[in-house]
Amino acid sequence: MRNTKLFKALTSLKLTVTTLSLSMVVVFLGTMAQENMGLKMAVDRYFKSFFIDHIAIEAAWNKTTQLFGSTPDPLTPEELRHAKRWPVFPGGYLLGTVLLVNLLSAYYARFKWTWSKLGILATHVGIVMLLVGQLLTDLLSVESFLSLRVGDRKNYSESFDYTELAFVSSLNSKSNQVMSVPGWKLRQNKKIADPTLGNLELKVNQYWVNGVPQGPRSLADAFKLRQPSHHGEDSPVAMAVDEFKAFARDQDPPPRTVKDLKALIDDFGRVDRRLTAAEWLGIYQNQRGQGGDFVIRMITGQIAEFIATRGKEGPLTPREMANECRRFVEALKHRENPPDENVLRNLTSLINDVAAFCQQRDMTRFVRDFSAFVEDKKLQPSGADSGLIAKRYPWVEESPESLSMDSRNLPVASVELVDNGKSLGTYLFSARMISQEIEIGGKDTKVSLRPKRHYHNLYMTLIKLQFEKYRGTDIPKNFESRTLVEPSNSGAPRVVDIYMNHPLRYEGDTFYQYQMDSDQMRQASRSSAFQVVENPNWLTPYLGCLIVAFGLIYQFMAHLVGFVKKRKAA
Amino acid sequence: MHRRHYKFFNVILLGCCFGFFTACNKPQIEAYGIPAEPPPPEGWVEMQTIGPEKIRYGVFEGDDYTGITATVTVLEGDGGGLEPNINRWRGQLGLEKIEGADLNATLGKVPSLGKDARMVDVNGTSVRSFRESRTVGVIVPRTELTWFYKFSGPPDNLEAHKADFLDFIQHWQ
Repeated sequence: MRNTKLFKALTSLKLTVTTLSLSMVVVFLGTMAQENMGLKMAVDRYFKSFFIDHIAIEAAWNKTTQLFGSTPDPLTPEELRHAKRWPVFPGGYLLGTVLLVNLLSAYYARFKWTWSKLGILATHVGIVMLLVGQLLTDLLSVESFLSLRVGDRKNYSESFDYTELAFVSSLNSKSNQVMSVPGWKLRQNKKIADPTLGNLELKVNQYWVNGVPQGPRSLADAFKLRQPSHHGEDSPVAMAVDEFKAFARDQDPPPRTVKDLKALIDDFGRVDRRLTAAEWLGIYQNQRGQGGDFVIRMITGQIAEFIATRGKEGPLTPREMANECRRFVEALKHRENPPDENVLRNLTSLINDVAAFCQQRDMTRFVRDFSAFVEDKKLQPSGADSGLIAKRYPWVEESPESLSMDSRNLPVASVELVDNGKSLGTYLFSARMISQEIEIGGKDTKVSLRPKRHYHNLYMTLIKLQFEKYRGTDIPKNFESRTLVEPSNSGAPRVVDIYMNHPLRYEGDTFYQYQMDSDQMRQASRSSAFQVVENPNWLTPYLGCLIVAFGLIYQFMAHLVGFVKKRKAA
Repeated sequence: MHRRHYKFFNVILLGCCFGFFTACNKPQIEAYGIPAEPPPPEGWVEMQTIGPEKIRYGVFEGDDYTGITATVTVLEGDGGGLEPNINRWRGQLGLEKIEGADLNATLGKVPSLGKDARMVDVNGTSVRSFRESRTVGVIVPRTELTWFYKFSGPPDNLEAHKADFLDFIQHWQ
């Protein structure tokens, strides 16, 4: 066999050099691609695969050409995920495997044991350990995040990449049972039946990778936040939104289609908002002067008198009432004995305030703008008919899928639950919402779509968070979290400080202080995040490096001693 | 090829297959047990939290909301102190501030939550809803943190559920 062409090729040094060169190319391309693909996808498609596909190469090529002044369009998440892919370049796993085979084959072909080669042997054993160790780390390690606000107490961390539809029911007074269906299975939009789920079947109607459930009231809130004129809760937009929300709450049946919603908005615009002049002025007095302000009483009295002389006591629409107020201002200006200029200015300002107050109740503009806002949203019907979320949020607004490590996709799923062949209804689940209680198999079960949880044998409570910045900058210097760690089973609780290079190691899990950037720091100033790594293979790289170091030192010393001996002999 | 050589290639092939198949390490459908949190009393329904609250429950009788809410908020250190927090709760019910001996006279103890736990029970008119309202608040300093349990709502309804609240806060973490 040692003389076969294949074996010679496997043991050749050319193969080693070629593999190492290709590895360098893969590292370069993978680094370039991660801007467009996001870190996770780049690592999966370049390093955790046997072959790299042409789409991944294109992502890297686009970034590389950018360095030379070109401005290619970045690939969309849709193209990156779902376009047909052809393998065009060896990936990390293939190169690692070839390198390993090459090394082992070379030893098989050439190795002859002598003490003088112990160093070389040890070095190569160390390299093999590093290669195999990296593969095992890829396969066996689990990374997750634990985010805590001051006072929060948790015994689980959450995956950054994976979601789950979790069914939590009570087993007994001391424990609950969790059935977890991973998000990637829901994404296939198929029927899901599994022995683990018992008699429960899931029929996924639709899965949105990133989306927001929307209903009439949440849309009104979103509309309010979008308005540049929204300043405080008593602004015209805020008041219109509050009135619309109250109007929508009373609708029975609530709107189920976007067409229904538009009709609802139109109906809201047609509500009779006519009041008599006295009623208008009474509301104004209550709102602005709490009924007791002398100036307010005086001015509203004068307006009432003016309107009465015109015989227009009402009922008046908001616009008509505002116009009456403006007419009064004009009348004041053109009196035979007009008031002093300063007094007139103050009076005008007050009467205009009354006019603006009444005008706010005119919903024509709100109805027009809100309808256009809803139209722009391109809402999709959720297709769900059961549960609180489906009732409040009949639509889903799809958001673009994020590949960045700095933001998270919050999926929404419309799923029909079937228990023992009987449909329990179609529910809407969202990673933005709290769990829904559903009776499944005679048990009250809390069902929620959430980031995949990893439970640990401890409860951690955040007591205090301390972060320091470099003086005069926003650059974080040190994050430190004081935590209370309570073992789940037995053992005394203890206070542990976790900071950079000082993680908490607990039963195979390592909790590192996660360094937030300044934006995240501002957003979550009183919460701390820990990266939790469960890696049963964590010792292998340390051992590999030690063995390589031993091999190199041994080999070097052996040569040095031999050289010194020779010199002495000479 | 010699039999021994086959063995050599078989080992390599096996390694490749192991790498290939286990590379698909996506999570799968699974079931497992977790420690149970003590369930809230019957009729307590979890609601969306407001501000720094850790959790908020609304108390229902059947399908009817009683207007009672139960919240827990945990703050660092003494959370601003006993007196300001009691007076904040009093202020929400339109009551004037009190201090010193007057304050101490209104405070009760909750032995089951430790010797430092203090309880206040006040009636007044809510400054937000202008309705009669009652607040039962318990403040518990514990491991460099302070826990604020608040149970508030219409006085008549609240009395019927107060025992549930005082029982539940012993387990509510």
